[in-house]
Amino acid sequence: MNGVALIWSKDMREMLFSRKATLSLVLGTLLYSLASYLILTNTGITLLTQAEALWAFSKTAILVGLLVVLVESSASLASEFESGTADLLLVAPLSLRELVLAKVGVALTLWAALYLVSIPYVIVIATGTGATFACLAYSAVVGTLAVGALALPVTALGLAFRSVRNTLVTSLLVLLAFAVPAFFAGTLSAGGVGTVLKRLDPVQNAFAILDNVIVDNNFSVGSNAGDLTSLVVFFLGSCVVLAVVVLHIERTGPVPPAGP
Amino acid sequence: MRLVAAWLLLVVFLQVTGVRAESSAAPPLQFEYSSAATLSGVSGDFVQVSARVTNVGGQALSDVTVYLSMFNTVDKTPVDLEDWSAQKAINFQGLPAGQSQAIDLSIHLVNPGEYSLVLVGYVPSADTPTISRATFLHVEARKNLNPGNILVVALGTPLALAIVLRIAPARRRVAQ
Repeated sequence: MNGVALIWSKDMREMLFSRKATLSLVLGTLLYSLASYLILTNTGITLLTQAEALWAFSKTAILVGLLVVLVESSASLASEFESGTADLLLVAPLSLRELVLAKVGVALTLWAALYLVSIPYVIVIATGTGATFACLAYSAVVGTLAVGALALPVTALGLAFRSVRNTLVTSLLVLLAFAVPAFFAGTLSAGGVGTVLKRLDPVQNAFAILDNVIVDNNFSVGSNAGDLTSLVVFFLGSCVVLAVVVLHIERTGPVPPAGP
Repeated sequence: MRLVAAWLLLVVFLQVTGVRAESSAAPPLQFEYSSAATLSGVSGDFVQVSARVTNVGGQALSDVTVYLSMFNTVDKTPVDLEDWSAQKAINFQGLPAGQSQAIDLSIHLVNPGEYSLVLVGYVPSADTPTISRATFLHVEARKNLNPGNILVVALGTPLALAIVLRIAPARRRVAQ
């Protein structure tokens, strides 16, 4: 087993089989349960259509995924440096880029697990919309791109800061900066600057694609090309940011952890 | 002659500048309901309010608008019709004298409570609208513990996940 797979496997075991991690995953699932229950209760009463209910749940699922993955990305690498275990890992025949790759793999696997858990909810909520498969397929693609677009720079931050607290606070601010306009798109995107930010924001792009697919039934990739392109470009930019930080640290050598 | 000319000029001036003489007369409209005076249902249901509006005047009316107005009789507050009715107003471009038009409005019962609903008839030439008698709405809360059959998934998924994540490490320990 190579270094990347070894670190990935160790982290996944810790995450899935420790008592605390189990609790957080189950609580995340309970959040899905609560959101789906409330959404469907409202569907029977207000003018919210089944498709809009499905869209609302899909947005919730992506947001929960973003939150969990960003917290994981903030802590995983920074905590290795904070506790001093990174030095031991890097003494072993394991390069920094392999360590980073393993941590990114753990974060994306966590997103995949949350996505898999959301599937039964989507199937039930999508009843009668004819958009079940499209919703699942697009949620997988745009969710992964959005999660990756924000998780990769946060991993780079963890590598640069080497402090869980600082990385966590910054990553939550990053999430708020992108997610708040996405939830208040109607009021915050008016005007030139709002339009530009809307075009750049990966969360808004992901939500816009899901709206187009689930509510407006535009299933083809071509009809979502604009938002999809923005999302892919942001994701690639995030890959570049992480690669630059890793290469810079590999070239300049490890720096002592920040703070006393 | 000068007085007549001045009067005509004044009338033309008032017409051009949009100033109208005060008028408190209500339009000659009359509402007659065919739906019940009290309607009831459960949140999420639709009820139909049906009525006829008749021009009881001697002249044709060129522009008649009938709109809904709803009031919460318990909270004593007006109701925002955003979610309650897709069609909040109906406009008739011409209602001859003695003629009537049907009004059918579908009301989506949203929040539980007690409400009164009136139809308001408006014509631009009259300052006082005609108001129909009230229709009372009694809306009960919807009691559905399993909306959209989500309950099994909502309860079963976290439970199944908890069992899987707790059993798997225990089996691993036993195997070791």
